[in-house]
Amino acid sequence: MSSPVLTSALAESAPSGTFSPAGGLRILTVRAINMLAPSVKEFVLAPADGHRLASYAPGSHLVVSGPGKASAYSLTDDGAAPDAYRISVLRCSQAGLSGWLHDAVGIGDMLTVAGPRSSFRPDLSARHHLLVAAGIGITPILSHLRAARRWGRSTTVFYGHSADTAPHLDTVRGLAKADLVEAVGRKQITEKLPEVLAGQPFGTVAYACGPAGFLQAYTRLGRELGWPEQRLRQEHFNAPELEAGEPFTVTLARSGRRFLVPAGTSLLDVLDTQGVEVPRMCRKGVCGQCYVGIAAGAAVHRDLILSAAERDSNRGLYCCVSRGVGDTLALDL
Amino acid sequence: MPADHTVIPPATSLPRWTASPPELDLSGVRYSVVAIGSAAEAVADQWTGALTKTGKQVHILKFAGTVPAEEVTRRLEVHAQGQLNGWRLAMAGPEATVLSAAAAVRQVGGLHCELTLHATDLGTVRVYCPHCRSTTLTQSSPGAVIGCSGCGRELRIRPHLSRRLAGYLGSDIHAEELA
Repeated sequence: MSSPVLTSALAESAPSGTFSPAGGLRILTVRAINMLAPSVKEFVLAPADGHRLASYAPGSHLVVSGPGKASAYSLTDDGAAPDAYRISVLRCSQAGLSGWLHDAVGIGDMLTVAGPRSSFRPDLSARHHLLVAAGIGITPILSHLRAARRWGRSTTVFYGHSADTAPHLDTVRGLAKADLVEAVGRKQITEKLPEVLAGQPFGTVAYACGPAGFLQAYTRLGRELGWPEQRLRQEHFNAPELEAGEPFTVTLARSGRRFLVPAGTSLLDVLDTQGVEVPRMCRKGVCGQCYVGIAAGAAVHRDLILSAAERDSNRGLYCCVSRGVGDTLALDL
Repeated sequence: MPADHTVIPPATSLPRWTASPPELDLSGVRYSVVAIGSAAEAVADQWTGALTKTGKQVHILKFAGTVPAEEVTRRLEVHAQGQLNGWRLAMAGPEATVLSAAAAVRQVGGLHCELTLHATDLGTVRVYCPHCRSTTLTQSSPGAVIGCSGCGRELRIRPHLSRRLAGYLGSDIHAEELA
């Protein structure tokens, strides 16, 4: 790869390497690439011109874009005054962004990124923190663990991994020491996770990241053990496959224009077709670029960003995945 | 300064106690039901009945009305620290004691949704003095003027309650006078 992938929004807004507050688009240079596990590469990203990087909350992610696609990757440091942004990328498929990052990106290349963004930050009022990871889900958990060690927070770590691939295992062992519960393979994970969840002191907040099935088990177990939802935080790294959804009509409140959004077509695609520009990157409800304010009406939220309370407030939606109901939805556009 | 002390918009931090005790949230697995004073016992019995019927583990704690609020608070803080996640607290008693004990439970990580509180008596309030940071227990209510037990200032009890400090805000009625 020789030149950065530029989007039109980027070309207008963010010159390379300028200090930008969290959230903007910018270009970073790949300073180093480290092989962490057979299919996991760490990319160390830094501004080409030596400008400072914004600090981030533990558990934040960076949205990285490549040719025609974008994905969110967790930052693995504690986030305080970072000298670089480090992400660990598991190679998932040839076609996806991870395949492109693994095969086509080398040291010195430039990447377009957005963020860091956080929807998975530590709750500083918690008395104890339970960090729960399975597989490559260790990446935001490592960030939490590093921050917990830096600030002296009481922490237990659960790390479920396979016998042959366990990214960051040595680092996690070194940091967590006696506070680590390791589970090797599916059987041990199934056995040990309920024990760990059942034994946490009152006032614990748990943070989990892993495959969808693992997160479902974690949420179900937590509920069965009487944990309120606020104590069961989670970060998805795979956006789930979404249903086509019901057709609906959307109104643009400022211009009064109305469009039909058929089943299987996203609101973002319809806005594109009609020449209404909305910034976007990931197109799967993860990166947070395509937020649009709601002027009126009901929405079906399908993103992985908004909390239950934010959904209830009905102030806005991510138009790449979320939809309207009937003909009620009016957008602040 | 207007003569009356009506707050606009209306003060939202004031507790909204209901006449009958609130229903318990049944999503927990272990419960402690706390009754402070004789008026709270019937409430605690009602809660305990609802919990045992649904097969929840219930621990009952009863305090005589003569036990000081500080003692109840200290005991509940220790009790909460010994619990595991999945625990809920349901507590009835005089407002000042209930708020003080609930603040201690929040301090050890308790969430709003894990606490069910009911006041059986509103006679005594705790008033926090931001000038000297002491708290005065008084038979009074928001709007009244009392003497601070710490610094002796004349404090007006403002219609503002801090859940964390378990006290109403008091402020020096002479604070804005020219020296």
